[in-house]
Amino acid sequence: MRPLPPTLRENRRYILVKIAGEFTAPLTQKEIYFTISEAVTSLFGDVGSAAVHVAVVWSEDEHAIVRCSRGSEQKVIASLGVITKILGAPAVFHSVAVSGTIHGVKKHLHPTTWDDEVIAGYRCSGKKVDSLTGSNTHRYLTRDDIIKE
Amino acid sequence: MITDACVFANQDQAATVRRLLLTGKSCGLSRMVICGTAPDIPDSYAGVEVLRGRVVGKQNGKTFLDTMKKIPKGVVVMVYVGENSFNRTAITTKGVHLLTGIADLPKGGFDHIVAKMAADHTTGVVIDLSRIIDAKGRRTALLRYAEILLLHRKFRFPLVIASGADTIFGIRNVEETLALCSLFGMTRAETYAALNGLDAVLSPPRPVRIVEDA
Repeated sequence: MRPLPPTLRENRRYILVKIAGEFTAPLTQKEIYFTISEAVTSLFGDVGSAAVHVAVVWSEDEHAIVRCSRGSEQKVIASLGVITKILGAPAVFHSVAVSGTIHGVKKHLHPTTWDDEVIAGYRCSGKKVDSLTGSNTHRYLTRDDIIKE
Repeated sequence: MITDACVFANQDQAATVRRLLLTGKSCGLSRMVICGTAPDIPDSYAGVEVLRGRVVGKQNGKTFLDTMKKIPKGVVVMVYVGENSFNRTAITTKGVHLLTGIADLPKGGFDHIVAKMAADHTTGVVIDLSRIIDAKGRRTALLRYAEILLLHRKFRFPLVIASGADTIFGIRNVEETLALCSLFGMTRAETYAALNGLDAVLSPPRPVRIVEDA
């Protein structure tokens, strides 16, 4: 099919997503897309997900930009909210910002959040930290917890 | 004060209480109710205020009243709903702040009479987001919450939103909460009111009293 002229194209919205989880390897755009698409379909069905028209247009490290049709941002954010796993590992997709352009949404990439002060429990300043439980599972601590221990 | 009305923090879980509070801060929360057996719960951390919470399970009348007597002051008490008669007892018991477990409610467990009683006693009802997030019981939860919302609009009992999280991955930010609550028809204004709804439960409005004659 030939591409539509600009006046006939649907309006889009871009959502910046921050992904946190226990996955070891960096996530690919395809993996992120499949996870989001599955969540949208499970929540709104095939017809709903077709109307939402979701796509992942960019991803880097723990951030991704999700594209959807204008007016369905809330549906996509709700779908992001019900994601609990990616590739079998616990994960969470936090929506950070919504904009009409990719450039606009990328402006929200850099502000640091409180979470940046957090360190995985098994590593702090390059040194291994023994968890209280003694098992090799992930523990989520703050600097204050490590100093206390 | 944007509040998460129920976060579980236990001794053997992966995230420490401080880590949960820090995540809450990054999600835009200003207060969290911590339930569970975790040691060393701070009064506040990273600007997030902490309230202690206690979930009381389904019990028969006498055991329930005994349990209520043992709970210290200053603890936010949540009672797991059950049959209609138990719910009425729970609402009229002094010290009960919230009713939780609405998604598991038996048929006719929360009718218009219980709703009116909850409004009269300023007992809040908890909307637990973890039941919407979990795909297994999502349909039932959405149906129940829609029913509760109808009753809330008529009788005006307080609604309170809780994540019901026990890990850092269970806490949702304000925008996600708004989107999840819109799934069962809650408006933006109602969701904000519910996020700030714990204040109305903990310090209900009282009639004006003359304390000193001029």
